[in-house]
Amino acid sequence: MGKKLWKSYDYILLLTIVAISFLGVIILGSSSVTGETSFATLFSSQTFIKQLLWVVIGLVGMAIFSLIDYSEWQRFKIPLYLFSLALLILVMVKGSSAWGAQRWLAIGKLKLQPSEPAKIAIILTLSATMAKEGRTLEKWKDLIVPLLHVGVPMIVIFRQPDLGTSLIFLAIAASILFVAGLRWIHLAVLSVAGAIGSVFAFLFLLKPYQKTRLIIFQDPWQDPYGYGWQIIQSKVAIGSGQFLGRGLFKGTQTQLDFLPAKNTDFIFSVIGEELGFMGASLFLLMYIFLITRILKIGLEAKDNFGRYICVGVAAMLAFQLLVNVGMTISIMPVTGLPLPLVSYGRSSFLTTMISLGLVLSVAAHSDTSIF
Amino acid sequence: MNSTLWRIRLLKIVCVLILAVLIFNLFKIQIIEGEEWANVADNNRFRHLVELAPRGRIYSANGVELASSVPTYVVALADEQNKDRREQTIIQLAGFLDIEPNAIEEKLSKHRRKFEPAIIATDVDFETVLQLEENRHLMPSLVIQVDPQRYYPEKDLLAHPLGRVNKIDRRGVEGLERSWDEYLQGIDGFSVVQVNVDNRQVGDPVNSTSAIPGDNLHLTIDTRLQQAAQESLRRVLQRLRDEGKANHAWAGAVLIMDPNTGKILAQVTEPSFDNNHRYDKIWWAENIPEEMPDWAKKLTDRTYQYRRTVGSTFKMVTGLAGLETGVITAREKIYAGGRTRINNQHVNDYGYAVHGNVDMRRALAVSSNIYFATVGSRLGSEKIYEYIEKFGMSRAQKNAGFDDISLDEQVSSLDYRLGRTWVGGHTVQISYGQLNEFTAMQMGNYVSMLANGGTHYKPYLVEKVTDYQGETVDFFEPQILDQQDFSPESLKVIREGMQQSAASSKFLKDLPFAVAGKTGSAEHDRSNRKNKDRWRDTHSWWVGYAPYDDPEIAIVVFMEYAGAGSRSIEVARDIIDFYFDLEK
Repeated sequence: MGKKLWKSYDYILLLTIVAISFLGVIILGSSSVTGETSFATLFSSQTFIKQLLWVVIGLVGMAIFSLIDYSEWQRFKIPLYLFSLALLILVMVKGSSAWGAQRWLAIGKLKLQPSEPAKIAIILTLSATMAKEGRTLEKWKDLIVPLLHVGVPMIVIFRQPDLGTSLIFLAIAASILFVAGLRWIHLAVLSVAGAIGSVFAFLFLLKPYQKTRLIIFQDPWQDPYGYGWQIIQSKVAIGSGQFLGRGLFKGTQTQLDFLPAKNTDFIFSVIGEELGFMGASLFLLMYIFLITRILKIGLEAKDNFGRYICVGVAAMLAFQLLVNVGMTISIMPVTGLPLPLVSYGRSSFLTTMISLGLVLSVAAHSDTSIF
Repeated sequence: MNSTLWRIRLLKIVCVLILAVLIFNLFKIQIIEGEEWANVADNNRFRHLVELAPRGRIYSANGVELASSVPTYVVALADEQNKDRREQTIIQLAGFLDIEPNAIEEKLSKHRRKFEPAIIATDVDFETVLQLEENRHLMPSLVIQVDPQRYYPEKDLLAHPLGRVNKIDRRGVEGLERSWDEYLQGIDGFSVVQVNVDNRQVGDPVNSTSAIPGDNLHLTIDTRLQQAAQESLRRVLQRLRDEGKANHAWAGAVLIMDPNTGKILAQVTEPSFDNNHRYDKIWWAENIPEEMPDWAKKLTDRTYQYRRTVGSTFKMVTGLAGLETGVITAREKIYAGGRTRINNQHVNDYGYAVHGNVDMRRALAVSSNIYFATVGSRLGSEKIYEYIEKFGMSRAQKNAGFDDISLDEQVSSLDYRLGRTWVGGHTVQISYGQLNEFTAMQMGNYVSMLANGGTHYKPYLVEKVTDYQGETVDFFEPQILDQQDFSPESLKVIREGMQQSAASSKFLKDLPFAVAGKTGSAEHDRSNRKNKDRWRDTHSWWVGYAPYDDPEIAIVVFMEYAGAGSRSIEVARDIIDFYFDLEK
């Protein structure tokens, strides 16, 4: 760790991450304390204290990863890939289920969702694969290796079933391959194939509950007390926030429990209700700033490996932001994807922090100074 | 390499597009539609609860509660939006109430006002309410409301005029309950409470007002007198039937008024019924004698909703008119020879009895039809109707101006002139109380006017209205509707005739004071073959007042199809005994 590392460290990105994380913790506190809520009563909430602890742990983890030269990870490409694949298969066999899906692996008291670290593993290993000297995407056969690379874990996760997360893998892979020089003709063909595949998957592979959840967002009123409930209550929450919001700790949808999954998938609805259009827009602005900042680091990375990592992380965050926020305002189906950095949940939070640590490492180890 | 950087920049643009799409949609929901969604959020969290106002009570003049308000329990369900909880609540509740879950589903689906709980069961017994309270946690959307319902502690006493309250909307729909509904109703309280998704109240009510109980009515009725009159009437009718003297003697009425104020002291209709079961077919089947004919089973009040020919009780109208107009003097005698023809109309005295030469007093005492037919024919129908009107018995004024019960529930008298070609024979018949029909209330006022010298007081039943704290809201003084300037001499003759009439009755002999009265045996129209009651016994009437010197009560006794008027005197005697506290 030379002097140069500190000089090229991206403090603006760091600051943005810290700001979003703490805003998230406060929102989470507001949504998890019932009754009269204020900054003082926040500390009576287990959820709030736990998440606060994990923000600190996450920040430390991020710092550690940011200090390790990301180039080192290239060497562990194969063990990383195999290990995460093994975990994913293990969860299929021995995992515990919730909400009709088998996503969790219990290790002692700890519960791990292997699909989360698998995201990092796939970003790292796919980036390493694509950054290998001499690899091009000129011909169709050049696509076989990367597609298999992503396809195998993706299908395993899809079978859990976790449609949302498997689609993140698709977003990550598509972005990295796109930046790695995927030909337009290949992109077009793959897109058409993907579209046909989706229709096929929808008709024959999805379970009925997944189908209902996928379409209900277009007309939640056809089942207002069942599948449509979350969507309607979320829209009610966000809409009732109006311009300035109901005020922190004062959202009635949130405080009176009308909003389901308000700590996890629907945390953005709390932001919309309590902070209004102003707050929600500023939050989105901050978030998009974070993502474009990651892409900027990618632009200035010293090598393609670093560049692909940034693109992968940015794609992961952008996709989740779009799907999660889109879900709360009824422009996207309900897929159960958390909002990175804000939703309650250890696996997701740590994964995001570590991936951001990797991005910070790319920035710190780039040739050009940002300042 | 250049292409790589360019493609990353393209991804940046994609990010900005994502931002634009999200913010655009936020703008739509929060700014354009924001107010609507805020309303939906308020509807989510506010529940409107109603505290029903207890209905005002009705008291008799002697302080007996005739209509009270008792709390009953209503079980309702608030809107439950969680499917599983909704189902669980319905199954649980169905179990406690011992009904089918489907029945609850149906009631919920029919319920339109989502912010108010849907009523599932009314009149739930206290036991069940306790059980429900204990298991409330199993049914988060359960609401138990207190619904104050009408109860008539005195059951069949004054059942007819009290009327009825609709159980569902709690509005008075008949009788006093209807006419005084504005006072009796009270004002429901309401509160708006904030609830969470489980329908549990959070914090204090946002907005609330307490229920204000309805105002109380204080009647002029004395329940002791009412009771005595009712028992006597019932007993006499029963005996007449039992002894085979009058097989159709099922129904009747007693009206007792204060002739100096117009206050109604007792207002009896037989047969009566437990007013808590007014329209309860099962109660009627179990409590009313099987042999009672359907015409008697009707809920008609026979003091103001029923009119009949009144027979000889009418003769004081003809007599006073004769004296006042001078067509006859008190001393002039007319020969009553059992039967005669006047105005081409056959007239006979009761049992073709020959009374010889009778003057006014004697004619009243022996109830000579021939005498009054003669006076009537001298007067002409117009004069007779003029005096009918003077006594407040005209068709135009229902029940002599009684308006404590809505006029549309009252009947007016029958004016025989209507739709008829009048002949002299009609004049003769109306002179002794045939053809025209009057109500007991009209007769009460008429005899009161004879007693008080011609003052037409409005008959009334409601003396005072107090609010729930006992403060007087309204007090009704006696009201003079009309004042006739009958000459004291004429009145004296008529009264003396009545006194002689009363004195001749075996039932009124041994009283410590004199009484004035007149019987009436109203015959049915036998010329009309369609008339179902043409061969039944006459209606038995008695009108009078006591004491003769200083009238305190005016009495009308009416017994339908009970035969001779003299039979009604037995009831009158019971009333006099009770009122003046006499030992028999």
